[in-house]
Amino acid sequence: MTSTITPSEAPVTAASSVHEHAVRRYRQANWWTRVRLHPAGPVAIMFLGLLAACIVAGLLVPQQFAFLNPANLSLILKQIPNYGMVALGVGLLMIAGEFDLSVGSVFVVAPFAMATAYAAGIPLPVAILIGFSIAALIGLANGLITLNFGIPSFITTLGMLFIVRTSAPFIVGYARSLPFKPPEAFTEILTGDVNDVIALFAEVEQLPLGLGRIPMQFIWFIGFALLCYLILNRHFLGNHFFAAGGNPNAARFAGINVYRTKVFGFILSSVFAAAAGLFSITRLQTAMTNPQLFIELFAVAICVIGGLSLFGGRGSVIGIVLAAALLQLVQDVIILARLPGFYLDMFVGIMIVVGVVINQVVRRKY
Amino acid sequence: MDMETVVIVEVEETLRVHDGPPLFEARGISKSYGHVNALMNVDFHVGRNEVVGLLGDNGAGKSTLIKVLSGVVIPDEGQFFRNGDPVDISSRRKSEAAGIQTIYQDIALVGSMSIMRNIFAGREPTNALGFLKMREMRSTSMDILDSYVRIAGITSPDLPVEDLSGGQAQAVAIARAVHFKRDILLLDEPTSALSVRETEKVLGIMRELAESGVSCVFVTHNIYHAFRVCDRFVVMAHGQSVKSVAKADTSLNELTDLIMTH
Repeated sequence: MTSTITPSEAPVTAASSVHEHAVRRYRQANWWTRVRLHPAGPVAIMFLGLLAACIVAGLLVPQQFAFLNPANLSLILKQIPNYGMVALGVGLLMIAGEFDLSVGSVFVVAPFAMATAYAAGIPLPVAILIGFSIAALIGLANGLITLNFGIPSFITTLGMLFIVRTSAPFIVGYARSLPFKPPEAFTEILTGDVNDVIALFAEVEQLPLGLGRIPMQFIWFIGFALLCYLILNRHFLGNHFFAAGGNPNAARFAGINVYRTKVFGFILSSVFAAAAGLFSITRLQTAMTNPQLFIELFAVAICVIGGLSLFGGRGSVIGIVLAAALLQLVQDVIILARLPGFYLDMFVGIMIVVGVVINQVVRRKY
Repeated sequence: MDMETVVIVEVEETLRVHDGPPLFEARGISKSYGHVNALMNVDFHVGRNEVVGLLGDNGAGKSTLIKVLSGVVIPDEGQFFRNGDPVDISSRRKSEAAGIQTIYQDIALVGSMSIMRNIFAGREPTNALGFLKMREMRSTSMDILDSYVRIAGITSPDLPVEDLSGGQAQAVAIARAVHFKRDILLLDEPTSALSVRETEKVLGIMRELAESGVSCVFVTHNIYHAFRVCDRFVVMAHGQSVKSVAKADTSLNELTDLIMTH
């Protein structure tokens, strides 16, 4: 797949004076063009606006609105990866032009398989690998069914959501829940905080400014997000994702294997859901088969709020990260302000609609 | 090579077609869809340094022939030769390997992607791990933009293609194909969405390509555009190739008649 045709045969253009001229004319687009064209623009503004409001409120009335309390900040950072990590995989696939709703089941079943295998005495790395393999197979099945039969992936993965959820007992046994007690170090590195991890390796004083209280989950999430960014923007796969989602025919005519690109996207989405699930069972020290309802819908919601197009070909990793953060920020505000919990769902609902409307308006402008 | 000038070279090709096997040749191409015979025993060839005008009314079989040549449609019958040697063009990749590049007007580019990413779509220069060589991509796309679409008013290779006019997008598609020079370009109605100025430019580019060794097949409804640049014309009607004639041996009127009467 690594097609590396070096454009050494550039006609007429090799002369360096021509190149100098080109560089002067076509320097990088100016910042306003880039902000305007960036799909994460609206969500960035909303997130920064709400964050600023929270900080101001936290400073003015710290007793009633304990936003700046380190425990609260640490909690927000710990919550962001929950949906955020699932949304990263779903988002990459959405950019390639396909949906994945089955992540809600994969999030539960793949980690449960890991816990089952681990409980059966299989070494932890192998047990984790088994779980990821199951996730990859589900993703592969999603891709093959969707692409070979030409059905909308919305339908395929909706079906898969139910199939995997209900057939989970066949795959992973009938237990409703299973303790998952990996070695201490593993738990700390995945779900502890920075101080815990430092303490594992050295006797050092705690980091200044409360940086040591940053949860490892958040650091992993940022790591995964960076990985996704690199794939999407700096790797040929990302180019193929955007092309396959943006205009499959043009992609095909440019020689891109749209089929293979999308299958890879399905697998990636499933594996990310499994990874998110692994973090979840590690933190809870328990794997459960009862489903985490609506996680797939929250993942899609985050993507849409983050500026990804439902039609594919448009979106950014920073948008997904900001939307995941925005969601948790709103949840935190609701908790701190002692508002009823359903406000969150209402906010998500409004934001999905507003997000799609903004998306549509931006598209129409071209 | 001055891009601003439209070069219309007088015909000097009539003899050149006959020395040696043609650059590319298709023999006995047939393709039917159910009862519809889209192509019936069509012979078609492209010579070196040649611009071939593929003419014909709607439904004459032009697009099917182009799809066959670009490896998108597999014909029921037919053989292909490059420099007299048989070649397999039964897929897009194989057709490209045989030196053929198609430029479709509508589906050439991905609107939501930047010009730069479009230029390298499917042919990304990468390191061993598959990561893009961004600097090389940027510098090459700036060179490409500056050389071939200078007047099109494109200010940056980072602009998404959907921000461009139809003509500008077409120019980018052509520039891309030119950069990854295959030696046979199939241009499907490349000028139909272009302004007069841009059309002149594209016609000029075609002529220059032919002189520099890239043959073009120019599919068009516009006989006037074709007559400006083509060395030879192939007129199709009802799935058959009814006439192949060098520019020196025909006239605008005769070509019009050929298309109208069949």
